[in-house]
Amino acid sequence: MQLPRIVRQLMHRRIVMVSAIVLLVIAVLAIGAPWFASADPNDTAVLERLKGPSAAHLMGTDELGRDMYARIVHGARYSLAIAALTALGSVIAGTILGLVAGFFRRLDAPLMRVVDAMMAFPDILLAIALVAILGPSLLNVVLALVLVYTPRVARVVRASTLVVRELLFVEAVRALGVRTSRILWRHILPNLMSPILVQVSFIFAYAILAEAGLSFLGVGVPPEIPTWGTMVAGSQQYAHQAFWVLLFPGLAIIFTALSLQLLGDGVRDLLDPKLKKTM
Amino acid sequence: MTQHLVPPRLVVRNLSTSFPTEDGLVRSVADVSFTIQPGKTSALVGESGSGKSVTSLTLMRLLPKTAQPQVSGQTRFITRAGREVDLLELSDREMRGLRGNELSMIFQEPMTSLNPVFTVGEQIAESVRLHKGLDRRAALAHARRMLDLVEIPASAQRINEYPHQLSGGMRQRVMIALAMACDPTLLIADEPTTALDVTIQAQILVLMRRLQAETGMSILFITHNLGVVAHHADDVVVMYAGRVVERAPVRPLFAAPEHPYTQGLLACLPGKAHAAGAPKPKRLFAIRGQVSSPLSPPPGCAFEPRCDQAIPLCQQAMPALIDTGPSRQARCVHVPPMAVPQAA
Repeated sequence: MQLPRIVRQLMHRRIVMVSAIVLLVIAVLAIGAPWFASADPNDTAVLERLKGPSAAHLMGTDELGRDMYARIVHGARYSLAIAALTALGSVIAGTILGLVAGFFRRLDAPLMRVVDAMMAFPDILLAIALVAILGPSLLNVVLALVLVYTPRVARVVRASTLVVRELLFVEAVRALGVRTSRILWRHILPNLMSPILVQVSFIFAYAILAEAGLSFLGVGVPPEIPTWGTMVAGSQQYAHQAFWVLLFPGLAIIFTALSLQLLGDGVRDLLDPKLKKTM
Repeated sequence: MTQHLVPPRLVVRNLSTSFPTEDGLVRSVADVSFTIQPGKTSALVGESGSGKSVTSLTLMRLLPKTAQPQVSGQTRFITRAGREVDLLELSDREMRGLRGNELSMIFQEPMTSLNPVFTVGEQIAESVRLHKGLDRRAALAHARRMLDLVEIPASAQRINEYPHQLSGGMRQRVMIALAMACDPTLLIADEPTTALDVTIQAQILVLMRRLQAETGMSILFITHNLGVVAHHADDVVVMYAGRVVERAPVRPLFAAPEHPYTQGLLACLPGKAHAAGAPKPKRLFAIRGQVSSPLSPPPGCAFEPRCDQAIPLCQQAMPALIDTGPSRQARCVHVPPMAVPQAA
């Protein structure tokens, strides 16, 4: 595969490298949360409430005296898991939808009108409505976000499918007696990997922001589960006396989303030959 | 004649293909008949838009369904096992079994005919696995033999390379290897050398001829290059505006073209007029005008508007394709029918 060359080219770009390192650190922290933050993220200590950063509590404590550092590290697990599942789900659903719409011209118009209708709603509004219908839970937040982001992927995949299906090699493999379903999955889909890859990174970033937004508005993850969104939501009224309750989860959200976005940009620039020259 | 003792590999009779468009029905291929003998090469010659490619795609049943092609006529194809089938009547499933296996196709553009994300070995192996049921290892080994067969050096290394790592000529060799992988009985080559350098063209043509001699396959060679036809074809079918205007074995055709269009095509070749003894022309000959629109064909002979020998009769009706000699046919009012009466 051409992957090694792309990885090598990515290494040469400083912004991409920094983003990748930030993400790597966050991912390692999330995966090894119990080792990196031994304090229980849900352990309340009323006497210790709203204490500033200190040796005992690296990032201070929140309004219930819970250790902020532990909550951020453990929250990373939930935030990243929600974002990853959202990206995965919407990419799978969107790819199938886009591939079918782009390849079978008869299905194109009906499928794409549905997609257009879904895209007409503002993302966060649609997500709020869906969570309101489904009820707030971790799984339902993921489900709602998948539904919100599937149309984006479907559009991109459809557009790329329209290009690839016209390439001569598709006719050539048909002339070799390959059946349509195999042409679709084995020959066209691998050619769409770069736009799909780029979408994964963007949706990952959007999903982190969207989850934070939903939790902030109180329609996301139940408040007892530490995610960066629920942390900001729960602590906002104490921000004037303890800035750290907002600052640290906020920074976590910003760094993660920004890194993902920059990484996605870098990957897209490398994979899109049209943009290559302008870099 | 001895050649008629062997049944032809493919007989095409009265093949017509039309496409509905917003401006009406367009007949891209009208009433085309020809035969291809086993182990021989038939050339389909004509300018752009004469229906050559549509003919081949109709035979392969590869016309896009969304174009709603309307096909009529009969074909008789004799498979390796000796079974007689009509390519136009087969089910989609049976047709898929023939494609790549009995009937293969090489396309004009080697640069885009290969899937960019798979190695050439995988692509050749896919066809073998599909039709011969070989496992992955055996198929890859076969792919390597195919690369050797089409004279690609360092096949062991090339087999793991991607199409973008190969030159145009190499890619066309890979396409030929791909088409030949299942040892087809009929190879349809749609302008296989048009996109290549002249020196590479010659190599590819020699290669195709060698493979034909080794495997005994028939070739339907679609081209507008008469030089290639003269060297590599056994029979020639000249098409104009979707119709066959002349059919002949290659030597008689080049020696004495009967249809004014064929005459014009031959006169367009540089050096041709000179060789015939005429003073060396300062300019190349060109057939004047252009192909009439398929939406409003002229009432009579399709070539009449461009023909230097046209007479009023030409405008009245399309002349029939008549026998003008042993295995020769032409569609022109000037050409006398075969002198010998039909044998009793």
